[in-house]
Amino acid sequence: MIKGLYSAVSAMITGLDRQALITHNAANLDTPGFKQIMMTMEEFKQTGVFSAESTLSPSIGLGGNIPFDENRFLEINYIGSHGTGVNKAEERSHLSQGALLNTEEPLDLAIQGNGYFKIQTPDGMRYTRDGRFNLNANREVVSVDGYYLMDDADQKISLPEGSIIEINSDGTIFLDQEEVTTISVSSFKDEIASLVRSNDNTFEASTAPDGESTGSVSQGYLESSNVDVAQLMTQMVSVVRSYEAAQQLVSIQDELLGRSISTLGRI
Amino acid sequence: MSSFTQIIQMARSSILGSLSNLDVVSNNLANINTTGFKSSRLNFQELLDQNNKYGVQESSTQSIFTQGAVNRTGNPLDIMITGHGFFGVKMADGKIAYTRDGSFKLDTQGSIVDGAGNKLVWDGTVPLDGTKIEVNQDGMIKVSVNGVWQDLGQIPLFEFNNPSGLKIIGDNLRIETEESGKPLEGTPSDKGFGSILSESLESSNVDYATELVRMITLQRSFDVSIKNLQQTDLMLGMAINMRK
Repeated sequence: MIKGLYSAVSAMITGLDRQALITHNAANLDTPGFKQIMMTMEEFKQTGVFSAESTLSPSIGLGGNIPFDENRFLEINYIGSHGTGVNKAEERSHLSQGALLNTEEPLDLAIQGNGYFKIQTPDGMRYTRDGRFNLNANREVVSVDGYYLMDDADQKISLPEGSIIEINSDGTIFLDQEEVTTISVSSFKDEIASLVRSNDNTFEASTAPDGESTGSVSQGYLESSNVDVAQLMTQMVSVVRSYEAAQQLVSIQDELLGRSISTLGRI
Repeated sequence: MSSFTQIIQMARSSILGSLSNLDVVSNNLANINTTGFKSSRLNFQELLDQNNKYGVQESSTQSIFTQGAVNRTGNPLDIMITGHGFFGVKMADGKIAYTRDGSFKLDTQGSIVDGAGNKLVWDGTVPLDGTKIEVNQDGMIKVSVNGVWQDLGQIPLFEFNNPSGLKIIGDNLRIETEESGKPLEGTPSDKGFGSILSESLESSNVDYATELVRMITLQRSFDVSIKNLQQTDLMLGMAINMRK
């Protein structure tokens, strides 16, 4: 009885986690370069179910001098296993390409195909698909959070004075037709294994970029968030319904428990 | 483990973000006919810290400095910058503000002033007996006195490393901040500076279609977050009513 109660509660807790994830994805519907987070669920621990039959024989009474042997009193039989509910499992970022949005801003960049921009944050190097860059007061190229964009030699990019910034598809920056440097576009052979989600729209890599970059940089475009609204709403419906079902299960078990207590009390 | 309060806060941050975005879009649309106006964009960023999800935050408001269209007026002191740079105007408190709005006129002392009476940063005064005035491509102001043309000096332009970092103080004026960097002074047509087009004004660079699309998307994002809030509330109600 009690075990069932815990299983139902575990479904409610997981439901809440799923709802948090959906809300987070929904809040980032308009965040460029955002990759939606997907959650998987797994079965929670199993416990064994045993039956304990008493083999106590009437001949053994008080005062009998029989050596202790627990097997003589109880025989524990393993019947099978019993699940104790559900638990949230690994979260994964869905790395599909987002739609490109034309902004015509010279330092709005989008990568078409695979590859990531490399940015230097106070916590170390991070990778991102968010291509909203700007110049800071020292003419260095920075992200919206003020982190430095890296070039292919892992240096900050600082633009000399000039007016027309052109960036071609391999990430080479030209200022008034003069080549300045090339933006690093890093790729990974196995993105899912190499990249771990880090703070604020970035990824942390466990390996050095080892893939061949086939992505091309588009100047004046941003990659929109890849959150799928239809999928999001469907998930929301299913979360609320499964939460409701779990809540009903808790109520029913509570009711049954209450009834057995009161019945037993009467006997 | 997530909590109800956390989810409600996330939905709240997103709803408030959509409302701020609406403010920015409304301001852009309201200034669709304002001379020299530059549209703004509100940048949102994911708020995730060590896998704790907090939804979204407003990370910056960015000014979009794309060139506005040419609007010919025929008035010699209506001047516009094609390319980079700002005009400087001296405000009543003596500080310099920067603007792209080049609708100037002459005051009774021979100074060139903007609509609010702020003087254009420029060395010189216009002789009051002049009959004709002209501004050429390099920003040189010329005036004709008794049929003789005189050069009165060039209008300086100012540029910033990060013009988006300038603080908008209203009346189409901006002032320097730590983020914008110090003003770099130059003359029109210099490297890195635009040139002057006289008898014209720069139209607002607000694009109606872009703003409309932004309005639709922010509305949808608002709707989704409201729905999220309602559903979370529904779940909270279920949790509370577990025991009848």
